[in-house]
Amino acid sequence: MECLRDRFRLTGCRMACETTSCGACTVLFDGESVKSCTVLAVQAHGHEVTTVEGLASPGQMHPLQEAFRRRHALQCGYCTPGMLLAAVSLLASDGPLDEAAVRNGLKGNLCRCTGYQNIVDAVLDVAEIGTA
Amino acid sequence: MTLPMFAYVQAESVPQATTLLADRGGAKVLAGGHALLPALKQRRVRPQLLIDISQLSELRQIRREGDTVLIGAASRHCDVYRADVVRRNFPMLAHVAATVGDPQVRHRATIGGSIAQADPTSDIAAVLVALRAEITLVSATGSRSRQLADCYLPEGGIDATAQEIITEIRLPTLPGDVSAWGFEKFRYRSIDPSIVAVAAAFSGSASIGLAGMGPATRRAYAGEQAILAGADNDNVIAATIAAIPPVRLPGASDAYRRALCVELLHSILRRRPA
Repeated sequence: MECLRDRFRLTGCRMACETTSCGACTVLFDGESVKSCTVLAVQAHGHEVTTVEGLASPGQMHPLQEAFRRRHALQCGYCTPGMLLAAVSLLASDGPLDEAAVRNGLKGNLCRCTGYQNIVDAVLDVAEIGTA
Repeated sequence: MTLPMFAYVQAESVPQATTLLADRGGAKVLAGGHALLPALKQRRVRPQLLIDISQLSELRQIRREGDTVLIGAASRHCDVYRADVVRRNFPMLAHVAATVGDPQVRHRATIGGSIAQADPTSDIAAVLVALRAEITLVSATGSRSRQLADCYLPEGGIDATAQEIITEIRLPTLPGDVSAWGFEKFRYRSIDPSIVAVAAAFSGSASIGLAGMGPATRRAYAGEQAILAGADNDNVIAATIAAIPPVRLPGASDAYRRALCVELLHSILRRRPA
């Protein structure tokens, strides 16, 4: 996480609890969500790491980002990059996603503002369209 | 919260890792890092060298050999529950591995790491004990296999030397109906660890693992014997509870843990196949 933020200036990777609890620093590691505060930079050697900056081309939005905007799935926005990447990983996994599965799949990400409902709605929107 | 200074080696083989462990004082093994890295940040441990075994493919294989399923210790929880051989033979393990922590944790934390941490409230350890898992411990001077239940020390922690690495979990395939199992746990919030968890496998002769009922994961031998002797559920539960010394763990009293354990056992045993 420090490497992503300080070396590469990818500050979409948020620093918060630093102890694997809050999920704000979630990135994709070879396509799967991990909490970057608990991965050493050297362990990522030879692997692909995706931060929120890489979710869509510059000027574009990922369908999930569109859904977050449409559903107003954020207030302060601090947890949002982690939520997005956790949700991308969840949407890529097997099995149908209902509300319970989305809530369960995002339980490693804490949001102190929204009460989660709009986040869950946004993820379900994309799950139903199947565009993620 | 910054990491302290330490040297880092990405191990290229198990023998290289065990040799380093034997030769270099103050070394620790790093796998998924989900216990070790937070502990380092909090300065609860101060190793001079981390030996990373997480990328050793020889420790990430999951396969069947005869009557045993072998799970490499550096397999992540998601590898465990996705493996067909685990889902087919040990559906309880697949079920519980799919609920460890949260998805991000399951994408990184390893089954061997969970064992090595010897967290007495670990769901996965209770399941492995109930499935009569053996672990293989390897050092520079040799290797040994032991029943996991015997590795957990009564006072807490795991009976392994600082020079040993857990390389493999060996699960004997069960005779009979592998779908005859029960797992129940209680916790306050879904992100909390269990206060008490009970895992039971009923194919073959019954075996029961308990979490949160002592300083270490324990196997409920007394309850298993009562089942073997044909006792009714109330007597099985009474025998299980009577064999447990007073529990002093943070978060819940001995009496509360016992009451929870009784309830969880009840809900498993009443669904037990005749």
